[in-house]
Amino acid sequence: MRLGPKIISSFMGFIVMFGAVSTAATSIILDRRMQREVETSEVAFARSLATRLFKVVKDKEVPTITDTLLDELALRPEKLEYLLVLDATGHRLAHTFVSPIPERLSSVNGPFDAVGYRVERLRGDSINAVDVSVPVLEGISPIGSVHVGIRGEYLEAIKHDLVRMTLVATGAMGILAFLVALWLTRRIVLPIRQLTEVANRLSAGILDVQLPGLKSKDEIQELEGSLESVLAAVSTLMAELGQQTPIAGVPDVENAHRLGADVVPEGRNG
Amino acid sequence: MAERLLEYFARAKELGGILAVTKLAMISKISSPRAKGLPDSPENVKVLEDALAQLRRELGK
Repeated sequence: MRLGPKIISSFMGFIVMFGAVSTAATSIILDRRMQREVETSEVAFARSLATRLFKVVKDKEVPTITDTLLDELALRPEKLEYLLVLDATGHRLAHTFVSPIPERLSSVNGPFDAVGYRVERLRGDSINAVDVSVPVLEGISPIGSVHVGIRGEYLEAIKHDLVRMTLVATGAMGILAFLVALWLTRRIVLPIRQLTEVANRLSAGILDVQLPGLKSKDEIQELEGSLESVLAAVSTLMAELGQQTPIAGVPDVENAHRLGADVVPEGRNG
Repeated sequence: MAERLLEYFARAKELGGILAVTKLAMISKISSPRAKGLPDSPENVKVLEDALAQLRRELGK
């Protein structure tokens, strides 16, 4: 493979790997951050709702509970999928569903552990949400539970937006890297190619060559300087040897040695 | 013309023959055939003078 394609493919390979790693890292980090976000802000919201609904849950004032739930849902329709309140036995007291309640929600009722809340991912044919539930407490006794359903699409949209942004940024970096690689290739490969042509002509015995005259002030210019030294030395040597004329009457072998040529005397060949 | 420049090559030849001339060309990066076509400019003279000085040091003369 030639040097130019090598440089470009190395750059592009690095960018593709960087993009893949950063996209995967963004996805993992976002999953964790969103889980934390749900556990902090939405649990706090559910607890606040449970505190406000305590009296009406205790008295089972379903219309009041429903009104409160609908008001809350109207405040954040893009984020909340549903609000649901169950009594101590797990029966539904009130909810915000206009269509039949998804079957999957019947399994979200259960005892709360020491942390006092539950976060459960619900994914099914008719529902895609994260259910955050907290107990409605009277003292330390649960008299019901409040369930806040956060839209799965909302969380996924945030994640997709950021992953898309990462991919766009990676794509932009890829284009930039390609341009940088092209520029580098021109800066490195072109002078090397010119010097290679000069060296090839020298090795073919052609001393009438023109060096490119690089001004790069780097190793390539040093290489050109060395080539220039060799060219000057060889040209001078050839000129000096050309001035040495064979001495009449002296055998050819001696003349050859005088001129520094590596000649095998006749008769010794084969 | 390049008389002054060629003088340096002649002096190098006196110092060490063809090898010294070749070495002078290598150090100065100016070949003797090329020197014939170059003007005796102060820059060219200085290059060959410095090169000859270095050659003298290397040859110990």
